[in-house]
Amino acid sequence: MTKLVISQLLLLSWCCLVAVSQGKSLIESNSIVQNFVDDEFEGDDFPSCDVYCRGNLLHTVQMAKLYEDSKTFVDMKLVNSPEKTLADFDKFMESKNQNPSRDDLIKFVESYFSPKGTELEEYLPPDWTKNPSFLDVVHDPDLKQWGKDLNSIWKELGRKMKDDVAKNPDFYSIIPVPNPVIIPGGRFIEFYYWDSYWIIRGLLYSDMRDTARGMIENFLSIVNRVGYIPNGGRVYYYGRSQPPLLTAMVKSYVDFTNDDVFAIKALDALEHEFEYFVNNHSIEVKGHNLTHYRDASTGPRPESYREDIVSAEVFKTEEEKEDHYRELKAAAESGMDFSSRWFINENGTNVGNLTNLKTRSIVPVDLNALLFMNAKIIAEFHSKAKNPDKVAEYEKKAQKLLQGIQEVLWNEEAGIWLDYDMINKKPRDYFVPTNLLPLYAKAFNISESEKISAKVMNYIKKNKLDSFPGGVPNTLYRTGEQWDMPNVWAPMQYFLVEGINNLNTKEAKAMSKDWAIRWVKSNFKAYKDGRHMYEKYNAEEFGGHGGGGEYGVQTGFGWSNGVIIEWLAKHGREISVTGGAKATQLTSIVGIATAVVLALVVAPVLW
Amino acid sequence: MGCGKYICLLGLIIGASLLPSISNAARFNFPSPSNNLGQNVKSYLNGLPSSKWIELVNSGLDSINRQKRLEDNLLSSDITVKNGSLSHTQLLDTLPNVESKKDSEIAIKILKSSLYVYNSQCLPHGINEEQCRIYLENKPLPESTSLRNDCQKLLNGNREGHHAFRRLLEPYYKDGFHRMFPETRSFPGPWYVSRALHKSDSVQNSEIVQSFEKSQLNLGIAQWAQFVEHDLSKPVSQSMSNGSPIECCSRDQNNLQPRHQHPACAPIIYQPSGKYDVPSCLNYVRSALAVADCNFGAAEQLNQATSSLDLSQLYGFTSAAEHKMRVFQDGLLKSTPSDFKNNALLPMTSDTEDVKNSFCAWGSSGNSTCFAAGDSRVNSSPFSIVIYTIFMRNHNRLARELKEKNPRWSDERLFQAAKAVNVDIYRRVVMEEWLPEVLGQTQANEVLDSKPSQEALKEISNEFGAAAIRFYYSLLPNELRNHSSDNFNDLFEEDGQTNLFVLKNEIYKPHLQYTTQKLNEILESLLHQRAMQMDSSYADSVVWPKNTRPTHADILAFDIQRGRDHGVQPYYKYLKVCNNIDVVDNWSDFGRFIPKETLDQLKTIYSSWKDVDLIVGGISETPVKGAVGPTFSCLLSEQFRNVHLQHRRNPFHEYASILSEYLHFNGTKLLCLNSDLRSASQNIFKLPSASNLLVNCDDLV
Repeated sequence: MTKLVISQLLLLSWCCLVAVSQGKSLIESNSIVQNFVDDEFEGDDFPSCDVYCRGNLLHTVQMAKLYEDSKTFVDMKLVNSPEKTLADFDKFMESKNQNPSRDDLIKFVESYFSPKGTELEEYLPPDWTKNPSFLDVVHDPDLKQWGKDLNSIWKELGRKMKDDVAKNPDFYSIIPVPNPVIIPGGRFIEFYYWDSYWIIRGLLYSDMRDTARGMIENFLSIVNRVGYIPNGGRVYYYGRSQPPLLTAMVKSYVDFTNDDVFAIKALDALEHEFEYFVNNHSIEVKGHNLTHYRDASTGPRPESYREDIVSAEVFKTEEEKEDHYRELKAAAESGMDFSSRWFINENGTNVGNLTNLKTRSIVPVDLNALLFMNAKIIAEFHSKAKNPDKVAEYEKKAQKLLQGIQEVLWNEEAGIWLDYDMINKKPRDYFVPTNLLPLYAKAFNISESEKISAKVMNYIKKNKLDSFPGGVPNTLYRTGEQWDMPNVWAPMQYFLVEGINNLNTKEAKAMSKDWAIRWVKSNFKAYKDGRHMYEKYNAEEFGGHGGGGEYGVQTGFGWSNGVIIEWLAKHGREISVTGGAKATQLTSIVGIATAVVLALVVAPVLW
Repeated sequence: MGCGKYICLLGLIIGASLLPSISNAARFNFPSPSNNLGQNVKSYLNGLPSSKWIELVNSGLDSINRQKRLEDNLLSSDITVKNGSLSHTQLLDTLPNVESKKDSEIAIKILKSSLYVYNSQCLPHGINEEQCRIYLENKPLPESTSLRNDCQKLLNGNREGHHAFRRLLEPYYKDGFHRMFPETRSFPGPWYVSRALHKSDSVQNSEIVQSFEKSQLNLGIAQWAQFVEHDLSKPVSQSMSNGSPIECCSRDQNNLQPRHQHPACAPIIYQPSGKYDVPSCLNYVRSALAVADCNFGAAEQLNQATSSLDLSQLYGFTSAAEHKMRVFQDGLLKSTPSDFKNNALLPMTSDTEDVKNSFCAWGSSGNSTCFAAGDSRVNSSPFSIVIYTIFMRNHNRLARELKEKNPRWSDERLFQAAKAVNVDIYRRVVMEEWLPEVLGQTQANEVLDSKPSQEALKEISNEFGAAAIRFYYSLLPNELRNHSSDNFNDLFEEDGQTNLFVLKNEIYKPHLQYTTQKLNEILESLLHQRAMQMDSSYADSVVWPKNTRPTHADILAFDIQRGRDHGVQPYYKYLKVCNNIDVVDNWSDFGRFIPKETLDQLKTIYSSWKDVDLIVGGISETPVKGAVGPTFSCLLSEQFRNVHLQHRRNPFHEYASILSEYLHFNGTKLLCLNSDLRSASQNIFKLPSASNLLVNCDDLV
């Protein structure tokens, strides 16, 4: 019964969206929806989920490996309604004795789906400018040109949904949002939750405040409609979120604009998301209420369906398989899909492969530190709104989280915060950049800065984190997974560098700056060589991109660009890459690339 | 196409090529590599404290150690070469032995340490890859590191074979050390190149029929080229640290998920254009590396074979391998006896206590033929099985003869004497009969006339092993037709002739029922079958131009990939040195060497003439005097000159008097005495004809 009511309410909110999306921000409609959504309940999913998230059609097509990337199929648009598609598919299967050939399936897919990505149009953000202010502080001519190129890439990553998406959402796997977005790039052709944090910061440094605000408003509207922010803008991400950075996005915007009203208006949604995480991700450990990553759906990840089925093959019972899917999706929720960080084998160590995933049994440093940070920001916004009760409430929530972080996650012996293994009831003494994330979230007693700084610097030395020419790797264990050695990720460099800087000691500040500058130079080298910004880089190479995992390295790339733009803005005065005698002048690469693309597009017509 | 035009074109090419081919051996002198270092490079790198160098080496070692966990994961996911698979067949061509695995492991650690220096010291300080490499090649590994100790131990130990391939030109890598240039729209993948060059067998055959001047070479030329290759050159694949072979493709020959890619993988991928097509994949594992010295430096590939013609492919590259081949009685080599005297077959792997799957790709099928020899490549085709057999028989025939004359000689003495004679006969057939057919008589004479000099002995070159000697694949046909001795006239007038075998079915899977008689049929037929045209198109049995799941390898794609793996420079660089051309800066500069039709094709495949791979340019050239074009002729000459000098320097003094008794031995006699042939032609590498008369074998005994 409840389910029915809720889905009707969701439908109602859907109508709200369509109505509001004609023009102004959705924030006003917050409170209407807010009251109806039960915190304990994740809501029903989207109607098009019957096609894109589960069922025989999804299973049959994905297992036939029609496309090299499993994500391709679930990004295709429906030609007919989900109901008709499914009914016709049943008939089709019957006519083929439940055993269609590959060619039969191709025919079916071609007549019932149109190509992926057709719901999105390229979009040139009107607030884009040629010479954003961050360029002023960049002195090196090559770096300056690069900064200009990066700024131009925003134009390539801009996307707007076609009007039909809002009218006929059931025909799409995309989750409709009112405002245009900047996507990460590559196979990631829709918006992603945590990626957007660094994209939005990059946009703010690029003087694109309207675009940044639009993206934040999208997320606020999704919280209002769905109750939380799914991993990315597709219905098949239903049931998993990502590290909660919406509050930090709003904070970034407010820091840039001093638009306190925006902060205050966002409060309902921010609180709602906070409560969603605290309530739906809670795990009790040593008498503290902390949180962990998990998932609230069934079956394999639709966008990596076949891969998950294959990886679950070693498990015998349906129950074990389902458990495995949950661990996979929980890891996806952490953003670190996949990593030895989430492996627990029978000996209680991190040696293993995907079948050893125990994401849900690990209390992660990052999620708890970020929730602490969110509580602090929410309290701060409430003080802007002059709600002393709320300020006290969220300060208290923050303090409780901090206590848990200190007592469960801080490890005096290792001198750092460590994830906690619930199965073996012990800390996991393996390096992950998130072990230092409380520094970024300021989830430590500032009065202890000196002591913590000494410990942390010692931890860095012990793990030789400074020895890698291409940045700090995500772990020190090479498993083949993409969130393991030797891959380096821009968001983690960001947390490390900015976090260490928060220690405020001389030594820590020097290292923070060193790492920032090294990262910028290494990214520049990779760009100069390959004319791409990459999704991930390689710790062992100066200017090398990453690999591993389940798909090839992607280019674009939202968060990498965002981090570089921010650090060019912060350190641009002090970085030079032209020093070497023979450094080649970097002419406008984007210009050339555009010319090439144009030539390629035009060529078939001419010849 | 008008025939006149064609002749005219050919005349032009021949005319133009006469000039360079007259010049002397001086043109084998490739320029010595640049050694100049910028002052700022030296002062920066010299300024690094020794503790820093040790730290860099340790980072390299850490990195290699971390790879073990990935390898464990690959093995637990069963990502390794499966017995009997296509990758297994490929692996047997490049199978490493235990010693070369050890060498390579240390060499890879040195490379990784060098890359740490490059990435963390050179690149961030504006020192480019070439300068960094030159500096490091002269920089000893830091004392007191475990790596330095391991390296010294290796260099001071007893190293049989396992030298680095020599480089005629500087290594050609993206990072100057080991990274291959990435495939792009303008720099095509190896399989794409091979497919684009491929012509169907029927087209190739009709071209032979139409060509106005048919080559008189028979398949012996290809067979011996392969045998010589097996003796001189064996690049082997890298392995996992526990010795397991590395697999870079999925079981269904698609590409693996990135998580399952071993760092040594460089699979040969073909991505068809249709959106429903999944890419096809052929295994390619980067070649094992050799320890040249205990300095830092770029990758040098390991040659598991030895650099002189010593029949090591038959006797074994190491003394342990030779041990397995010997009977230890009467100086004999192991064999599988047959009813006829002197006509035994090679021993089976069970006779030599060899693991079958290190010689054949039979998979789990138990009761199948698999021959043993000193090199796993013996079973690569019936052609190789035949020639290995001939030399095994010759050894045993000689041993018996020597025993008859010297009944008191020990097994050891008989064995060594028989081996010395066998090798001497082999050398003379290769250098005096085979080489002139490959290079042309003038060029071959030049090679054989070279006088011993003071220069140090030179190893086999990368350019020889990974490109030039591989020319014979172009000459191989799909089928060997049964030559019924009397009514044979020409290739395509063979009504009623049946195939003895289809090549693709026999690669590392000796399906044929091998008997003395069968070997005889193969030998007789290959002497009577015309070699395919030397050109850029290979037979269907050795390439895979189709869009379906491959069931055999693509040799041309493999060779292209290997050339890139070994850092061989592009074709034009060798063209310049070999033919004394000062400037090459245009496609048209290739026109003197490569027929127009092929050149036009190359222009559509590569977007720049600078990118044409050495092997591709080499096989595309029109042969002028011998079997190959001028550039391969030059690379082969350079190598054989060194091989020849090595022979001159180390003659078999001990056996001089015995050897002199066998000087009358030539190719014809070798074949006649070690088979049931009734006749063989005077020149065993050419089709019998009025100018190459058949000799009755009975007359030779």
